[in-house]
Amino acid sequence: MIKLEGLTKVFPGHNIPAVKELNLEIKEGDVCVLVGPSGCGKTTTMKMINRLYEPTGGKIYIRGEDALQMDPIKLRLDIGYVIQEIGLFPHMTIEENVATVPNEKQWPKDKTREKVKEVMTLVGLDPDVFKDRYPTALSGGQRQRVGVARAMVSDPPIMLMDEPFGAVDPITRARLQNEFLRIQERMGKTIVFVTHDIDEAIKMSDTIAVMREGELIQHDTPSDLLSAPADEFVSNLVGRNRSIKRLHLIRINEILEDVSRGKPLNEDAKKDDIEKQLAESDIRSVIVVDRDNKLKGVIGVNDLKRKAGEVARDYCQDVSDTITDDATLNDALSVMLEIGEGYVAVVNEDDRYQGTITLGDLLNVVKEDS
Amino acid sequence: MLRNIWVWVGIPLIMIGIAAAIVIYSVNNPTDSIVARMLTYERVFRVIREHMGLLLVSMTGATIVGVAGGIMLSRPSLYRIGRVMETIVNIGQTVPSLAVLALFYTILGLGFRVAVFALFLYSILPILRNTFAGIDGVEHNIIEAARGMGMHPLRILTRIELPIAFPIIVAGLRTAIVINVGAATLATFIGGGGLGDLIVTGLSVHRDMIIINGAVIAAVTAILLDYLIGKVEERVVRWA
Amino acid sequence: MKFMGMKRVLALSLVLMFLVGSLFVMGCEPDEPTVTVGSKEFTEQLILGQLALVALEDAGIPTEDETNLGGTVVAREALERGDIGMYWEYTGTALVEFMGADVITDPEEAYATISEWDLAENDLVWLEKTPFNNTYTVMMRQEDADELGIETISDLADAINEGVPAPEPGEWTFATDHEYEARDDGLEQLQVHYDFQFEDYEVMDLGITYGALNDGMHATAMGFATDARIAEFNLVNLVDDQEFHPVYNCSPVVRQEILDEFPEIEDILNPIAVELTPEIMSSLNMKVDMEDMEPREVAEEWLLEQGFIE
Repeated sequence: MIKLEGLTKVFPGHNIPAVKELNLEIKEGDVCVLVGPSGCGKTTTMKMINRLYEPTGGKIYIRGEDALQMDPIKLRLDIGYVIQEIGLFPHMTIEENVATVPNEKQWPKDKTREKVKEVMTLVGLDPDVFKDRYPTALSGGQRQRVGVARAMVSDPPIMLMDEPFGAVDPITRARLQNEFLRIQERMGKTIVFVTHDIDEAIKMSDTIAVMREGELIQHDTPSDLLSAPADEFVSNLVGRNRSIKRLHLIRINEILEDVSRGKPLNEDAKKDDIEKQLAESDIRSVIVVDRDNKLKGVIGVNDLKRKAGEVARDYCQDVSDTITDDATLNDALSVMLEIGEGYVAVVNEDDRYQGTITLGDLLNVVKEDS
Repeated sequence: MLRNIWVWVGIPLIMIGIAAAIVIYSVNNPTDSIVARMLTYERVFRVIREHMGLLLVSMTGATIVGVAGGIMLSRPSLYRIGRVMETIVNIGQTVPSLAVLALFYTILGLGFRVAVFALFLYSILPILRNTFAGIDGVEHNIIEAARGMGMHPLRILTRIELPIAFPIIVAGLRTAIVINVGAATLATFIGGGGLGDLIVTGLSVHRDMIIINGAVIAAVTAILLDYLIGKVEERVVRWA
Repeated sequence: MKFMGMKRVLALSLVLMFLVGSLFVMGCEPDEPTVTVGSKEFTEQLILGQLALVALEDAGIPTEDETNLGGTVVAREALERGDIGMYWEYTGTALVEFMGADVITDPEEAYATISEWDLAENDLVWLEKTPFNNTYTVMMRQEDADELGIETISDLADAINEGVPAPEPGEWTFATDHEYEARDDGLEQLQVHYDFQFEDYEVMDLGITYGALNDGMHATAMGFATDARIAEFNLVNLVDDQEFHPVYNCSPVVRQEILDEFPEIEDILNPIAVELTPEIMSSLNMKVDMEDMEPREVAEEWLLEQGFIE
């Protein structure tokens, strides 16, 4: 889909090339993450693909076509682009922001409006709520979503993303990453993704291209990169705790079946049942759900003593946080550390309870793997 | 809707009403023969007409040249000159308007046209500077996002840079108008007419009535124009 | 027209308050009586002020320089308040502006009337008046006047009334300052008195009427008879043959209590005033306006030359 051949960029007034003789091929539908320390040339490489920077030497082929021979404006209109600080237009509503490329392509108004609605819903922003707002009225995470929606609205086969989830807190970041992966599963775009965060690279990528000082050091799947780093630089980048990094590679729903523990309690369960379940629980707590299997809360050993009541509903406490089943094990670990518990309740997209995973489960996975 | 009428018609009418009341009272109750001669409806309307002429012609020209110049200087090829110009303009702004007028009197002579030309040059400065600064101040990543999505440079200018710079450009416009209304009262020194006729005459013969008429009309003009432009800006800029 | 009855203009009173305030602060040493000399803001007034200052200093009288105060009213108010002890005023100005009297065109009568009134009403003493009469004048370019045979304002009125073609700019136009346009004894009455009408007139700063005439932007202009630029630009004063303009001889006007404190002021300033002919005043003005000398330098030079100081 994208093929870079001997790609070189020397900025005027510099002796050392920012990118040097780079060869890289990215298959259709793959997410290729360019990773490396700042100044390694990853962003420069990306910006040459949509010709924000003109290469000094080398070739860029997109679907076999020579990108350097194409009209840069037309080229860019067919490549989705998300940058780190998002670059939303402050004077335009969210709808107008998202409609940027359709407007440039002069789509009919109706089609644009429909497509904007669709893509906003896709990234999890209710169009009725958000379309008439201005960017300043949005949180950081919401703005990132708008940035992604804006890049995707015209359904470009290729997307370039320069640290698109850089400017938000770690929890929001993990959530955005997971949602994006879910969208990508459906859309199957070819994506070039730039980050300096190796964890993000491992999590998001089909292939990782490690760069240093303008050169490509290794281009591999995350799994191969972890098990066989090409040199010391790569192995330092990946770090010592490679086992923990594997937690990035595994989704919760992949292990949930293997760690089945007792069924959750219905909110109408009697005190006897609660006591019985608590005694069996390895986390000294039981999860409570309602009739629709939606998470209601949790009852700890102490709650039973401290509170008075008849049924589970009366004893249960709210849970601090949950995690969706498409998140990675690393995300689950983060949440556990965040809420200070040895377990976390897993829910699906519709907020229905799927199971509970514990620190012990994570340890087992790491052990098995190494 | 009711509130809107109040904003667009009510407040301006009150301001104009105050000025009109002062004019009507003083024309009908002159304190002596000098005031009676110098304050007639005909004379007041004449100086208002002259003042608006000075203002409109010089501001129209200054807006066109200032905005166009600011845009040109903000283009990458002229950007360095733009930075230098910004400094020059800031220095130029410190030259008193009377000095500018005096300078153009010695070069071009007397009259309305010379006054208009001096006011025009003087008013370009804040508009040019703010246009340049406004466009220059648009965040780099916004421009890059626009370029990266395939917007044509001209479209980036008209759809992104100018709208974002708009409040700053308008601020320059408002500064220019307020300065201009004030500076235009000096046109009278070189035979340019305008409200300065009343003010300077009143000062020279010490007749408060005449001064007040000129000063109040000038002040109301400045406040009213600034107010209306501010309201227009509020309507246009809903995102800030 | 009553001077004291006038309400203050906001702007002007602010300026006055500032001036008076600063005078008050500066003059804060009441121990020693001092003669504070004021003046209006134009060249002739600055020179006259310096003439008085230099001469009084030479006689050992403690003085303070508050020249360049502003317009007529500012100077007069400062004198009446006692913020200044003296300044030079013109008879015609005082008669019309302060006393509210009718125009007087005879120099002696004007002087007698105003000096008697001011002494009686305001305890202000008019010392000897100058021979020069710095009155309003109607001017033309010398070569136009010669060519058209115009020497007096009556000649000008006849020329205009008879439709004689105007010199540059081709119309009988008149350059005036704001005050002359507004005054009761100004432009409008001039035309009534001589029974003619300028085709058009333009109001501008007093300082540029001479230049506007010289540059051909107007056919005629008003000015002051002793202004240096009349000679410099080769302009001519048309004779006021029907005695329309009031006379404006100049006198030092001194507060009575200052004169009581320093009676010798009279003997110092009177001989100087009577020496000041129109030619001398013109030449002194010229030295400041054209030769860029300081008013004080000009005053010292002339007083030395005339032997008033050593």
